[in-house]
Amino acid sequence: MKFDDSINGLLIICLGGAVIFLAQQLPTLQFIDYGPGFMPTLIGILLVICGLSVLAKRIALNEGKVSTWLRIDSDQSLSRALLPIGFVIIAILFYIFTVNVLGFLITMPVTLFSLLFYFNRRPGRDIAIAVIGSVAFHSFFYQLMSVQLPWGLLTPFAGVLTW
Amino acid sequence: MRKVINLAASALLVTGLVPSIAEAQWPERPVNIVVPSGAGGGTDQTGRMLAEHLQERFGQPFNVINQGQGGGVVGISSIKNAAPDGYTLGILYNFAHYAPMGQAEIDAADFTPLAQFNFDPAGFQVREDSPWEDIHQALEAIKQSPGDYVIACGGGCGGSWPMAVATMMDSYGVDVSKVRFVSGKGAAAALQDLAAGGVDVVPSSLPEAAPLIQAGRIKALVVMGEDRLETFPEVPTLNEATDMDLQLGAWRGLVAPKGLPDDIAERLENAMQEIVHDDQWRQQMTDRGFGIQWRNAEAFSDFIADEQSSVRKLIDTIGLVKND
Amino acid sequence: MDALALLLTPTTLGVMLACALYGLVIGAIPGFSAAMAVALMVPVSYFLDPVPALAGVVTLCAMGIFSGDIPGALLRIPGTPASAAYVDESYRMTQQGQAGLALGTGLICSSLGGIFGSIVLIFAAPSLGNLALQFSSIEYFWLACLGLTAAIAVSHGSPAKGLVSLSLGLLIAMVGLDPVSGQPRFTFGTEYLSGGLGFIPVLIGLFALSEVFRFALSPGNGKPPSVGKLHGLFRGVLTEVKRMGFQILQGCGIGTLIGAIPGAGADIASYIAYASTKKQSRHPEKFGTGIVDGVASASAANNASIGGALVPATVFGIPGDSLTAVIIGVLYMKGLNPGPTVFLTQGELITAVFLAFLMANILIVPFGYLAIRVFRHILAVPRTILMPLIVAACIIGSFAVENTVFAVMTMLCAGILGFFMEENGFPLAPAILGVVLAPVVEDNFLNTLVKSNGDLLIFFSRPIALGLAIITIAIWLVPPLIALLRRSASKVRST
Repeated sequence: MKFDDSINGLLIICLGGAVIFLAQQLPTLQFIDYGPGFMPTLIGILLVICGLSVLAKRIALNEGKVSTWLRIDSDQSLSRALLPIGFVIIAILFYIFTVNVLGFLITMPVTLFSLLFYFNRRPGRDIAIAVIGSVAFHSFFYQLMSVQLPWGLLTPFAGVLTW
Repeated sequence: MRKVINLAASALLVTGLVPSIAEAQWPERPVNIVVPSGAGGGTDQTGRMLAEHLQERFGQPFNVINQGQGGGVVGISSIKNAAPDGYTLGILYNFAHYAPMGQAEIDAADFTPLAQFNFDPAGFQVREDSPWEDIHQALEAIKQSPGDYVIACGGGCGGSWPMAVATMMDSYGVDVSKVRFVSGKGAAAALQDLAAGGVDVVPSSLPEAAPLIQAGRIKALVVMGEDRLETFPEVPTLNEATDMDLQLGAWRGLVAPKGLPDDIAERLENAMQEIVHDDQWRQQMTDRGFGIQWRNAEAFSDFIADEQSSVRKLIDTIGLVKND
Repeated sequence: MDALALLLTPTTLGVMLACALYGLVIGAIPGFSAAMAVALMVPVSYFLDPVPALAGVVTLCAMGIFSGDIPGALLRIPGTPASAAYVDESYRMTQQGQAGLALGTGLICSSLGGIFGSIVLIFAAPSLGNLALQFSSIEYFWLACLGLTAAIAVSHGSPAKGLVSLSLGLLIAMVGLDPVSGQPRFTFGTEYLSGGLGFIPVLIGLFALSEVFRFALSPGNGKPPSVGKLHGLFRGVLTEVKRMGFQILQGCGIGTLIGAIPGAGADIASYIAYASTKKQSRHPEKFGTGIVDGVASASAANNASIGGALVPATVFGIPGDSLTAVIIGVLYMKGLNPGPTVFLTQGELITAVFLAFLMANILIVPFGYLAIRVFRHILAVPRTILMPLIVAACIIGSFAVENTVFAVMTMLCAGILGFFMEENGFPLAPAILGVVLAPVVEDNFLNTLVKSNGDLLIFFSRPIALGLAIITIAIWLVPPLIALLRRSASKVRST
């Protein structure tokens, strides 16, 4: 997922500009002319300067000739190569949005199994690892170290399942 | 993926149905206590001691959940937003400044107050070599030239300690809008800054200041409680030193989200009354330097409503940022 | 001697053993961190007696900080922020088949640093504690600026990109309630963002999850590097350690001093030690290509800093870093209220705790050796199984420190950011430094100005502050000036 440095430079300059703009909306402190916006403004300026420097270096290096705007270190096509990354992101989003409803003991095995199956393609072994792994994490973190992993659907059984 | 979505949808349906059959006899599963403070902090310690005793009385685990992000905003919001089913309780402390400072919409009416169990009176700490010998001299000097002194807030300005000292100065007639308050990373760091000469006054509890008092680096001029503390018999109360009859400081109480069923609230209040009068718990609190104060649900409810209106008024007076 | 008797009971030793294993395992699992391990110890220590509880916690800190090096070297995922400064260095060594040398040197230096720190702690605690009381917001401000200069040393490659990375780190730390005024900043009106972006979730995302994305990009050709001759774990190490004796000693000193200054912990110590070793090296250009010098002094420094941080923690109850903040909580919880008098009233107990810390640092060598032997098999696990498990660990690791599902979201976004940064040549180490230092720089700058009513000269008004200011400004200005002079001199010669 490598962008041409001219794109990187522009992105950084835009980010810096946005930060400077947002920082101006913040008030200053009662007794001095600085405030919560001061440090973000400095960071924004630094970003703009560095972005310009990245851009300038890129232009100086081969005079604006661009071979590819975006390339990846993979022998597959761009969209195919990005698919697995998208899948990992979706799996984590699935966890985030369902864990409070379904509970850790349902969501985690599903998330883990889908990831394992996606990369490993051995259903039997993947199910076993997903279930054993999730139960092991749950036993250690919930039961032993009392981290409150959500129960979700299994809430009515929380009392029975806690040992 | 479609399977997953179907599963999630049916799950949503089922969870809607489950609680109605589950409420037979509270508590039949572990109860969570949200503590709006990091692990190991003062509020966390009181929460854990309380959890231990509640667990003994109700026979179910009472689990402490630490959420100290954003100076407690996150934890207190999650108490407010939890379901009032008795399975999420929380420790509430001086919260009144969050709303007027624009940090989070938190109001006394968002909670079902159960009991107050702790109050730590604020101290007024200055450097050992400070010319002020008593609180009277200090307040007089600050009243003369309020712009010359810097007071550390401990944490964010708006919390228990700066509000206590600001209330005291306000009722003495100091123009608090001219006094400079600086924020910091907790009372311990502020006391260190005091010893290093960075600020003039640090309000905090006396047990927090104890190490540096013992080291002879700082001294406490007053304690804003009803009586002198047993551990610091030489520090006078505000009432003795001036004639202001004020009790100011940090308090902690047990609350539930708004709308907790009355029978559960009553059982919890009764249990809290037993705990606060339990010698073992009192000993634990005293050993760790926490003050004990009992207020039942009704008194506690009135107390936080009063505190809320007085703090909100004061925050406007102090004005930390320029409003233009 | 009574202190030793308190320590050598079966319970205490048993708890120390359990904590050592716990610290090693948690530190070595990518996605978990030493900070999480210590925070999770609090509820457990609640049920223990004072000496076992505290001995356990300090053992845990020592082991956890070392063990963060292991996944750093093997998978390029530092287990703790303190290992982030030299993760590129040790992973390059692994790729070159020198994992044994990297981990062995790290192990010995961690132990040496820890022993140095604990000896200073035992003998000089009260007097060194006074150093902490010299530091006001002015000195902290300069110290943090000095720390920022280390960003250049850890960014291998384009300095501009290193600065971008540092700025992104600083920016991440800006989100949430502004600590000085309490104003919500960059929260876009959501309560979730009011709590800020958690440091540990950001760390896990930037380093661990981004590594998973890199794997996902090309699941087939990610051949794990061979570990090399691990049986000779200690063989090459001793000569290297002897060669770098001075640098390691310097690392110990830097670590202990920075640890003893409240608010600057193991993370900053290892960055500064790495930067200073690079600065003094005769071949600084080799740093970042897999050179053992960078690993040695920095791993000594991060372990030494814990001993240093325990000084203000026990003498004044002032936390040196996030780890000691938890230790202070446990001290209070166990009735060992910190203060100068704790050495008189409860001298035996506190000495027992210090001895436990010393012992833990000596035990790092055998325990760490075992841990390395066990965890190097992690490279033999097929990545198609390892990476999904790392995702699970990342999710739980971020949830467990923050107790909010939002922390998992933070971790995911940081992971995507880290992946883009890595792919486009932006180094990650400066970003972590930025996240650590942003609040220190900002709070202390603004608070100092509030104290002086806006007079900037206050930054040069105190002796220690002036000294730190001169050093910082010299480091910033002298090298470019020299370069400029050289260039103009050569221009003069050529004309």
